[in-house]
Amino acid sequence: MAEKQVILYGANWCPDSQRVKHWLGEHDINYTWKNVDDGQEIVDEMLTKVDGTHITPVLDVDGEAMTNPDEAKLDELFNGDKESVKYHDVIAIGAGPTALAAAIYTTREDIDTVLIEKGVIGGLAAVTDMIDNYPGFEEGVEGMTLAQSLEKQAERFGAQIELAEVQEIRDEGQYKKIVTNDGIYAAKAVLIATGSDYKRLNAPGEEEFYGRGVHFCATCDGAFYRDKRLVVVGGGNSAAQEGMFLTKFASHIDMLVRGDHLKASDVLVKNIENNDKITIHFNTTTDEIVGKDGKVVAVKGTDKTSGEVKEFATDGVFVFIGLKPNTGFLKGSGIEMDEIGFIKTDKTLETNIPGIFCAGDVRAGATQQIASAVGEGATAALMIREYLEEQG
Amino acid sequence: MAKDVTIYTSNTCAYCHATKEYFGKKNVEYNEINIDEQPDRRQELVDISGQMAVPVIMVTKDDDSKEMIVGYNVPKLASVLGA
Repeated sequence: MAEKQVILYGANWCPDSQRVKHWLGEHDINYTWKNVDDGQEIVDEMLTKVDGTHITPVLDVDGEAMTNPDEAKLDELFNGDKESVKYHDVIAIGAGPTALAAAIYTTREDIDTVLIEKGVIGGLAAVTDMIDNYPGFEEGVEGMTLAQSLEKQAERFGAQIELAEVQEIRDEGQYKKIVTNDGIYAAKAVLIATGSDYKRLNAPGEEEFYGRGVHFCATCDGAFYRDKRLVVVGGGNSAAQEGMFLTKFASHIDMLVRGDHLKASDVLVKNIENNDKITIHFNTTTDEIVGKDGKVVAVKGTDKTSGEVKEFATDGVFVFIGLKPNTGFLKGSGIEMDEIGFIKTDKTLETNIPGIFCAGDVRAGATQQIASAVGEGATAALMIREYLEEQG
Repeated sequence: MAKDVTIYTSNTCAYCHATKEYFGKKNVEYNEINIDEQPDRRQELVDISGQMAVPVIMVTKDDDSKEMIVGYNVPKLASVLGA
């Protein structure tokens, strides 16, 4: 591309002039700066190019002049050949309950909103068998059903969902760039709602037998264990919930719990205790997944009270030992996180970078409940609206 | 582009649903083998994939070479479709 002849007329006291200068500098574009405070002749020269419009800055590119170009226009002028950027008001990263709830609010007010999802629309909620505590469903609701209604509701108001993986967020001032495996997006405001994912054990055999005896999704893979023995690792709500689901298939389940009690809701604890297919082993670590001839045959664990090493014969292992935030792609973004990787926000759910908001499970301090995720999504949407209004 | 796409799924698996939605959005036709509704095909899935997990996506490309993808992985699906 031949270098364009670029002249920028403006003033040092004019924020938009500074913005355009900054943008040109950041994009390594050579230009001539003409300060209108340097003399009437520069003002006159500027005015002849824009038919007398008294607005700074004026940008002249190869003889074509325009007043106060916005970021989208600048991108079109200078980056058109390099990358085609898709511009929107709001981009949500993730399409779980948080982002879908936010999108219902923003799109109902005609704020153009795109959700970029690399996994399942509905997030972890969608892969949860039954959600019993989401208000409004007296008999509980299947995760996939809830996810699908949230999706349809958001789409009814015009939310767009793109299936792609976000690799990077770049703060370029008024616009944030979102780099994905499927092109580059830009938005005035970004909502990070990437949620969390199940943690791995990091025990020998786990990687080797992943998908072939070691699983993290009961609703996906439980059906392969009809009338088979299973081990469930974990003692929290998801282990209890998914363990109960697996009793639909398995003949028997050994549940290995590192602590001395279940950290699940009372209802679930009672269900587990009353289910004669489940045997709970407290104070038991999970040390190794043992395989033979390419198949899982046992899990080795240690009884922490006696130090005794135990072997649990099994056909498969389901691991539910808590959640880790999905923030790996934010390395180098400058967004502040806590030591585990959850994103820090202020009370308005804004991160340390203006215009980048965060809500739901991935936010430091979130309660990891679908009801609160939806609530945070709605709050974030209102805060984003306010931000967009301030930006004009 | 793909000549033939077969997706092994189950009824309760949200990732299977997501995979089907992905191919739908990209306007790529596919065959679905639901192992809940066709339990006799379960062993076939284990044999070809070595997996006891769904979704498994088998893509036959224009040059008749096959590529198998285990699990729902957007970048992998995008690359196998040449998108």
